Amino acid sequence: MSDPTALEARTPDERRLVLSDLLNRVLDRGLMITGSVTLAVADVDLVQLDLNLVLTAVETAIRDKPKRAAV
Amino acid sequence: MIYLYGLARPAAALAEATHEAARDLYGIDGGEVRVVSLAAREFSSESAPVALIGVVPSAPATSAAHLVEHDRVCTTALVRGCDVLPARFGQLFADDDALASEYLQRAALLAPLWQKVAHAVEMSLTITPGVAAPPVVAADAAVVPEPADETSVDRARKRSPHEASSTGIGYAYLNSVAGPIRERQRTRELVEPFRADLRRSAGELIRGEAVRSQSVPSVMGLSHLIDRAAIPAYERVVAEVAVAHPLIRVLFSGPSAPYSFVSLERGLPTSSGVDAAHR
Repeated sequence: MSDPTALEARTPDERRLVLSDLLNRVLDRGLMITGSVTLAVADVDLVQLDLNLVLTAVETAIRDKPKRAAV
Repeated sequence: MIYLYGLARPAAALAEATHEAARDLYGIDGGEVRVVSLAAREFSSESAPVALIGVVPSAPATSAAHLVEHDRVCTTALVRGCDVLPARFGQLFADDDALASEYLQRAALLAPLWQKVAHAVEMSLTITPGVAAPPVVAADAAVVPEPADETSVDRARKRSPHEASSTGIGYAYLNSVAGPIRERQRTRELVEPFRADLRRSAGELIRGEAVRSQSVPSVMGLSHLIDRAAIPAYERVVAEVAVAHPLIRVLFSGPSAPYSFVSLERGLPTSSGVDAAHR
């Protein structure tokens, strides 16, 4: 762990893990100002990266919907 | 259509004035990022947050490239010294006024979030079982090994009529359902001692902790809210603690904008500084 934050220094598998985690956060976390999020799924690269990312985001959107309406 | 990347303050770190393009900051598909004032009575004019927005013709596709571009805007603002409330990917507004109106409705709720992320960044740990970790074993696999010369017919004769066949379709189905659950559990069990040690060693450096969902059963993610000034100390402690846990592999990433700590739906920090709803 000589340079722990350098993505370039990682193996392809490690890069994929860290990137997958980053994308999951951007999709599944973060501030919601509006009552809804528009997710347009068109590209296949994300699906190839990790289908679970999209599924998790959709699940979160459904789960949080009633709470957001109350905000 | 207005696309929201996030909220940031102070604006001066990004542009000379609000309502202009952020310096050298590009968003989805290389589009310009504009800095829009969000005046609210909770803040003085110097500390008032701004929205980082782009103009898009329609909802951007949920591609890996777009997600990375979204994150780059928030992380760049962070690196330039701003406190950032990163927006979740995909939020669109009709125009600046619609965004300001939605923001003003929530301005009071956002005040504690600004306090929470003040001078802070998110550091992420992606943890997987290491090469030394024992393999996943089914709970029912701890049986006495069958003699090498025993045939499947012998085994079927000995089996009770109520006992499930380990070669049957039903068993295979149940195993496929239980497998990921077992793997998630095993990953959590491997990570928990590391997490406890880290809490003991770096507790005063960690302002908040979030455990991310295990969408991949063998990968567990922890996010920590860390003071900017404490990043080197945090990295040093994590590296030291990780060395003492050879059964796992720990990957750092960050600093990034604090996505895991800005949800309006989740609870505020408890007295221990850890979001109870995230544990």
